[in-house]
Amino acid sequence: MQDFLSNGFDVDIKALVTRIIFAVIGTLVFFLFFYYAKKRNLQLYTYIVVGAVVILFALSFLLSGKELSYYLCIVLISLTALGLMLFISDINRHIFRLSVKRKFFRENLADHYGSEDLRKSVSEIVKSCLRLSKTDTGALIVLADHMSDEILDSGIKINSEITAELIETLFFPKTPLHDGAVIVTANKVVSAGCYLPLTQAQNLPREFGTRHRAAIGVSAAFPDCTAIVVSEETGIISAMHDGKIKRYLDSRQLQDILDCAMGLADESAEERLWGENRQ
Amino acid sequence: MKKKKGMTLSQRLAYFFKHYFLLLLLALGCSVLTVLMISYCAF
Repeated sequence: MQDFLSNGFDVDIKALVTRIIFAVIGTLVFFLFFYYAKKRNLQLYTYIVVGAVVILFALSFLLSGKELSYYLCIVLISLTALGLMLFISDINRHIFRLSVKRKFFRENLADHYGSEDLRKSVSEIVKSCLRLSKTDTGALIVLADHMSDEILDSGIKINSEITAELIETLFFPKTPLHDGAVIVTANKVVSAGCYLPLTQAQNLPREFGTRHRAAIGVSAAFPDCTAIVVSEETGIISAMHDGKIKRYLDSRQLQDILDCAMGLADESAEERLWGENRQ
Repeated sequence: MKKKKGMTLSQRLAYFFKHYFLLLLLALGCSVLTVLMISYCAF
Protein backbone atom coordinates (compact mmCIF):
# COMPACT_ATOMS: atom_id res chain seq x y z
CA MET A 1 0.00 0.00 0.00
CA GLN A 2 1.26 3.44 -0.88
CA ASP A 3 0.80 5.29 2.38
CA PHE A 4 0.98 8.99 1.67
CA LEU A 5 1.88 10.04 5.22
CA SER A 6 4.51 7.43 6.04
CA ASN A 7 6.13 7.24 2.60
CA GLY A 8 5.48 10.83 1.53
CA PHE A 9 9.14 11.84 1.54
CA ASP A 10 10.20 8.83 -0.52
CA VAL A 11 7.51 9.37 -3.12
CA ASP A 12 7.81 12.95 -4.22
CA ILE A 13 8.95 15.95 -2.19
CA LYS A 14 7.37 18.37 -4.65
CA ALA A 15 3.98 16.75 -4.34
CA LEU A 16 4.29 16.79 -0.56
CA VAL A 17 5.10 20.53 -0.50
CA THR A 18 2.16 21.22 -2.81
CA ARG A 19 -0.13 19.26 -0.50
CA ILE A 20 1.11 21.14 2.57
CA ILE A 21 0.51 24.49 0.84
CA PHE A 22 -2.97 23.35 -0.15
CA ALA A 23 -3.62 22.17 3.42
CA VAL A 24 -2.59 25.58 4.83
CA ILE A 25 -4.77 27.47 2.35
CA GLY A 26 -7.62 25.02 3.00
CA THR A 27 -7.27 25.53 6.76
CA LEU A 28 -7.56 29.29 6.30
CA VAL A 29 -10.61 28.97 4.09
CA PHE A 30 -12.34 26.50 6.43
CA PHE A 31 -11.42 28.61 9.45
CA LEU A 32 -12.82 31.81 7.94
CA PHE A 33 -16.01 29.97 7.07
CA PHE A 34 -16.40 28.46 10.58
CA TYR A 35 -15.48 31.77 12.20
CA TYR A 36 -18.18 33.76 10.40
CA ALA A 37 -20.69 30.93 10.82
CA LYS A 38 -20.07 31.04 14.59
CA LYS A 39 -20.19 34.85 14.69
CA ARG A 40 -23.53 34.96 12.90
CA ASN A 41 -25.06 32.07 14.81
CA LEU A 42 -25.22 29.95 11.65
CA GLN A 43 -23.58 26.90 13.15
CA LEU A 44 -25.84 24.63 11.11
CA TYR A 45 -23.59 25.42 8.11
CA THR A 46 -20.57 24.27 10.13
CA TYR A 47 -22.24 20.92 10.83
CA ILE A 48 -23.12 20.53 7.15
CA VAL A 49 -19.59 21.35 5.92
CA VAL A 50 -17.81 19.12 8.47
CA GLY A 51 -20.27 16.30 7.83
CA ALA A 52 -19.89 16.65 4.06
CA VAL A 53 -16.07 16.58 4.26
CA VAL A 54 -16.04 13.47 6.46
CA ILE A 55 -18.63 11.66 4.33
CA LEU A 56 -16.89 12.58 1.03
CA PHE A 57 -13.55 11.49 2.49
CA ALA A 58 -14.98 8.16 3.61
CA LEU A 59 -16.61 7.70 0.19
CA SER A 60 -13.41 8.51 -1.69
CA PHE A 61 -11.61 5.88 0.39
CA LEU A 62 -14.25 3.27 -0.15
CA LEU A 63 -14.34 3.94 -3.90
CA SER A 64 -10.54 4.02 -4.34
CA GLY A 65 -10.32 0.66 -2.52
CA LYS A 66 -7.44 1.73 -0.27
CA GLU A 67 -7.02 0.91 3.40
CA LEU A 68 -7.45 3.60 6.01
CA SER A 69 -4.02 4.24 7.52
CA TYR A 70 -3.27 4.58 11.23
CA TYR A 71 -2.59 8.33 10.90
CA LEU A 72 -5.82 8.99 9.09
CA CYS A 73 -7.72 7.12 11.80
CA ILE A 74 -6.19 9.50 14.35
CA VAL A 75 -7.16 12.54 12.24
CA LEU A 76 -10.73 11.25 11.86
CA ILE A 77 -11.12 10.42 15.56
CA SER A 78 -9.67 13.79 16.66
CA LEU A 79 -11.93 15.58 14.18
CA THR A 80 -14.98 13.83 15.60
CA ALA A 81 -13.87 14.54 19.19
CA LEU A 82 -13.20 18.20 18.35
CA GLY A 83 -16.56 18.58 16.68
CA LEU A 84 -18.23 17.07 19.75
CA MET A 85 -16.29 19.35 22.12
CA LEU A 86 -17.10 22.47 20.11
CA PHE A 87 -20.77 21.82 19.60
CA ILE A 88 -21.70 19.75 22.64
CA SER A 89 -24.07 22.41 23.94
CA ASP A 90 -25.82 22.69 20.56
CA ILE A 91 -26.03 18.93 20.20
CA ASN A 92 -27.48 18.64 23.70
CA ARG A 93 -30.04 21.30 22.91
CA HIS A 94 -31.09 19.67 19.65
CA ILE A 95 -31.43 16.22 21.25
CA PHE A 96 -33.46 17.76 24.07
CA ARG A 97 -35.65 19.65 21.61
CA LEU A 98 -36.32 16.47 19.65
CA SER A 99 -37.30 14.55 22.74
CA VAL A 100 -39.59 17.15 24.27
CA LYS A 101 -41.29 17.97 21.00
CA ARG A 102 -42.66 14.46 20.68
CA LYS A 103 -46.07 14.52 22.28
CA PHE A 104 -45.78 11.02 23.71
CA PHE A 105 -42.82 12.10 25.80
CA ARG A 106 -44.87 14.86 27.35
CA GLU A 107 -47.07 14.06 30.27
CA ASN A 108 -50.43 15.68 30.40
CA LEU A 109 -50.42 17.72 33.60
CA ALA A 110 -54.20 17.70 33.83
CA ASP A 111 -54.09 13.88 34.20
CA HIS A 112 -51.78 14.09 37.20
CA TYR A 113 -53.24 17.12 38.92
CA GLY A 114 -56.89 18.00 39.03
CA SER A 115 -57.85 20.44 36.28
CA GLU A 116 -59.60 22.50 38.97
CA ASP A 117 -56.28 22.97 40.78
CA LEU A 118 -54.57 23.97 37.56
CA ARG A 119 -57.33 26.45 36.66
CA LYS A 120 -56.99 28.00 40.10
CA SER A 121 -53.23 28.30 39.60
CA VAL A 122 -53.77 29.96 36.22
CA SER A 123 -56.16 32.52 37.67
CA GLU A 124 -53.74 33.27 40.52
CA ILE A 125 -50.87 33.82 38.06
CA VAL A 126 -53.06 36.05 35.87
CA LYS A 127 -54.15 38.05 38.90
CA SER A 128 -50.58 38.51 40.12
CA CYS A 129 -49.29 39.49 36.65
CA LEU A 130 -51.99 42.13 36.24
CA ARG A 131 -51.20 43.63 39.65
CA LEU A 132 -47.45 43.56 38.98
CA SER A 133 -48.08 45.21 35.61
CA LYS A 134 -50.13 47.98 37.22
CA THR A 135 -47.33 48.78 39.67
CA ASP A 136 -44.58 48.43 37.01
CA THR A 137 -42.88 45.68 38.98
CA GLY A 138 -40.59 43.44 36.93
CA ALA A 139 -41.40 39.73 36.98
CA LEU A 140 -40.33 36.56 35.21
CA ILE A 141 -42.39 33.40 35.65
CA VAL A 142 -41.45 30.18 33.87
CA LEU A 143 -44.03 27.41 33.54
CA ALA A 144 -42.42 24.07 32.78
CA ASP A 145 -43.34 20.40 33.19
CA HIS A 146 -39.70 19.59 33.76
CA MET A 147 -36.89 22.02 34.40
CA SER A 148 -33.20 21.19 34.58
CA ASP A 149 -31.78 20.75 38.08
CA GLU A 150 -29.04 23.22 37.22
CA ILE A 151 -31.60 26.02 36.87
CA LEU A 152 -33.71 24.93 39.86
CA ASP A 153 -30.64 24.74 42.11
CA SER A 154 -29.52 28.24 41.10
CA GLY A 155 -32.47 29.63 43.06
CA ILE A 156 -34.15 28.89 46.36
CA LYS A 157 -36.52 25.93 46.59
CA ILE A 158 -40.02 27.07 47.57
CA ASN A 159 -42.37 24.15 46.75
CA SER A 160 -45.49 26.00 47.70
CA GLU A 161 -49.02 26.36 46.37
CA ILE A 162 -49.39 29.16 43.84
CA THR A 163 -51.07 32.26 45.18
CA ALA A 164 -51.07 35.76 43.72
CA GLU A 165 -49.78 37.13 47.03
CA LEU A 166 -46.80 34.76 47.06
CA ILE A 167 -45.79 35.69 43.50
CA GLU A 168 -46.14 39.40 44.21
CA THR A 169 -44.05 39.02 47.36
CA LEU A 170 -41.34 37.14 45.50
CA PHE A 171 -41.04 39.96 42.95
CA PHE A 172 -41.29 42.81 45.43
CA PRO A 173 -38.30 45.12 44.71
CA LYS A 174 -35.29 45.10 47.01
CA THR A 175 -36.08 41.62 48.33
CA PRO A 176 -33.34 39.00 47.80
CA LEU A 177 -35.31 36.83 45.36
CA HIS A 178 -36.94 39.49 43.18
CA ASP A 179 -34.21 39.55 40.52
CA GLY A 180 -34.42 35.93 39.35
CA ALA A 181 -37.05 33.77 37.74
CA VAL A 182 -39.86 31.95 39.50
CA ILE A 183 -40.26 28.39 38.22
CA VAL A 184 -43.78 26.99 38.30
CA THR A 185 -44.65 23.35 37.70
CA ALA A 186 -48.35 22.49 37.65
CA ASN A 187 -49.86 23.96 40.83
CA LYS A 188 -46.59 24.58 42.69
CA VAL A 189 -44.06 27.38 42.81
CA VAL A 190 -41.00 25.14 42.72
CA SER A 191 -38.13 27.59 42.96
CA ALA A 192 -37.53 31.35 43.00
CA GLY A 193 -34.59 33.61 42.24
CA CYS A 194 -33.34 31.24 39.52
CA TYR A 195 -30.77 32.21 36.90
CA LEU A 196 -31.68 31.40 33.30
CA PRO A 197 -29.61 31.13 30.11
CA LEU A 198 -29.71 34.42 28.14
CA THR A 199 -30.37 34.48 24.41
CA GLN A 200 -27.63 35.96 22.22
CA ALA A 201 -30.06 36.96 19.44
CA GLN A 202 -29.26 40.36 17.93
CA ASN A 203 -32.59 41.17 16.29
CA LEU A 204 -34.63 41.86 19.44
CA PRO A 205 -36.41 45.15 20.20
CA ARG A 206 -34.23 47.63 22.06
CA GLU A 207 -36.55 47.79 25.05
CA PHE A 208 -35.90 44.09 25.77
CA GLY A 209 -33.63 43.91 28.77
CA THR A 210 -31.98 41.02 30.55
CA ARG A 211 -35.28 39.72 31.89
CA HIS A 212 -36.76 39.36 28.38
CA ARG A 213 -33.52 37.87 27.07
CA ALA A 214 -33.58 35.30 29.87
CA ALA A 215 -37.20 34.43 29.05
CA ILE A 216 -36.43 33.96 25.33
CA GLY A 217 -33.28 32.01 26.21
CA VAL A 218 -35.09 29.56 28.47
CA SER A 219 -38.02 29.12 26.08
CA ALA A 220 -35.61 28.35 23.24
CA ALA A 221 -33.56 25.92 25.32
CA PHE A 222 -36.60 24.15 26.81
CA PRO A 223 -39.32 24.21 24.17
CA ASP A 224 -41.97 22.72 26.44
CA CYS A 225 -41.84 25.70 28.78
CA THR A 226 -43.61 29.05 28.62
CA ALA A 227 -42.12 32.19 30.15
CA ILE A 228 -44.20 35.17 31.24
CA VAL A 229 -42.46 38.52 31.62
CA VAL A 230 -43.76 41.72 33.17
CA SER A 231 -41.61 44.65 32.09
CA GLU A 232 -40.25 46.78 34.89
CA GLU A 233 -40.11 49.92 32.70
CA THR A 234 -43.45 49.74 30.93
CA GLY A 235 -45.50 47.14 32.79
CA ILE A 236 -46.14 45.34 29.49
CA ILE A 237 -46.88 41.63 29.87
CA SER A 238 -45.18 39.35 27.32
CA ALA A 239 -45.07 35.61 26.86
CA MET A 240 -42.34 33.49 25.24
CA HIS A 241 -42.67 29.92 24.06
CA ASP A 242 -40.31 27.89 21.87
CA GLY A 243 -38.36 31.06 21.06
CA LYS A 244 -41.54 32.88 19.91
CA ILE A 245 -42.71 36.10 21.54
CA LYS A 246 -46.18 37.52 22.20
CA ARG A 247 -46.36 41.04 23.61
CA TYR A 248 -48.94 43.48 24.96
CA LEU A 249 -51.03 40.71 26.50
CA ASP A 250 -54.31 41.43 28.25
CA SER A 251 -55.82 39.18 30.91
CA ARG A 252 -57.80 37.07 28.39
CA GLN A 253 -54.76 36.37 26.17
CA LEU A 254 -52.59 35.68 29.19
CA GLN A 255 -55.15 33.20 30.49
CA ASP A 256 -55.26 31.40 27.10
CA ILE A 257 -51.46 31.15 27.06
CA LEU A 258 -51.36 29.84 30.61
CA ASP A 259 -54.12 27.33 29.83
CA CYS A 260 -51.97 26.00 26.98
CA ALA A 261 -48.89 25.90 29.19
CA MET A 262 -50.76 23.94 31.88
CA GLY A 263 -52.21 21.50 29.33
CA LEU A 264 -55.77 22.72 29.89
CA ALA A 265 -56.31 23.74 26.25
CA ASP A 266 -56.36 21.36 23.31
CA GLU A 267 -53.67 21.21 20.62
CA SER A 268 -55.59 23.32 18.11
CA ALA A 269 -55.75 26.19 20.61
CA GLU A 270 -52.00 25.86 21.10
CA GLU A 271 -51.42 26.02 17.36
CA ARG A 272 -53.69 29.04 17.02
CA LEU A 273 -51.70 30.83 19.70
CA TRP A 274 -48.15 29.94 18.76
CA GLY A 275 -48.41 29.03 15.08
CA GLU A 276 -48.45 25.68 13.35
CA ASN A 277 -44.77 25.27 12.57
CA ARG A 278 -44.17 23.02 15.55
CA GLN A 279 -42.35 19.78 14.73
CA MET B 1 -12.44 39.96 17.69
CA LYS B 2 -13.47 42.50 20.26
CA LYS B 3 -11.34 44.21 22.91
CA LYS B 4 -8.60 44.91 20.36
CA LYS B 5 -7.63 48.33 21.62
CA GLY B 6 -4.60 48.55 23.84
CA MET B 7 -3.43 45.00 23.16
CA THR B 8 0.04 44.13 21.96
CA LEU B 9 0.54 41.70 19.10
CA SER B 10 1.42 38.82 21.44
CA GLN B 11 -1.65 39.54 23.56
CA ARG B 12 -3.81 39.61 20.45
CA LEU B 13 -2.38 36.27 19.31
CA ALA B 14 -2.91 34.79 22.77
CA TYR B 15 -6.51 36.06 22.78
CA PHE B 16 -7.07 34.65 19.32
CA PHE B 17 -5.71 31.19 20.15
CA LYS B 18 -7.55 31.07 23.46
CA HIS B 19 -10.88 31.70 21.77
CA TYR B 20 -10.45 30.12 18.38
CA PHE B 21 -7.95 27.28 18.87
CA LEU B 22 -10.56 24.54 18.64
CA LEU B 23 -12.16 26.12 15.59
CA LEU B 24 -8.74 26.37 13.94
CA LEU B 25 -8.01 22.73 14.73
CA LEU B 26 -11.34 21.70 13.24
CA ALA B 27 -10.55 23.70 10.10
CA LEU B 28 -7.11 22.05 9.93
CA GLY B 29 -8.65 18.60 10.23
CA CYS B 30 -11.18 19.31 7.49
CA SER B 31 -8.48 20.74 5.26
CA VAL B 32 -6.14 17.75 5.74
CA LEU B 33 -8.98 15.40 4.95
CA THR B 34 -9.87 17.39 1.82
CA VAL B 35 -6.29 17.41 0.53
CA LEU B 36 -5.93 13.69 1.19
CA MET B 37 -9.25 13.04 -0.44
CA ILE B 38 -8.25 14.96 -3.56
CA SER B 39 -4.83 13.31 -3.76
CA TYR B 40 -6.28 9.82 -3.32
CA CYS B 41 -8.92 10.50 -5.93
CA ALA B 42 -6.41 12.04 -8.33
CA PHE B 43 -3.72 9.36 -8.09
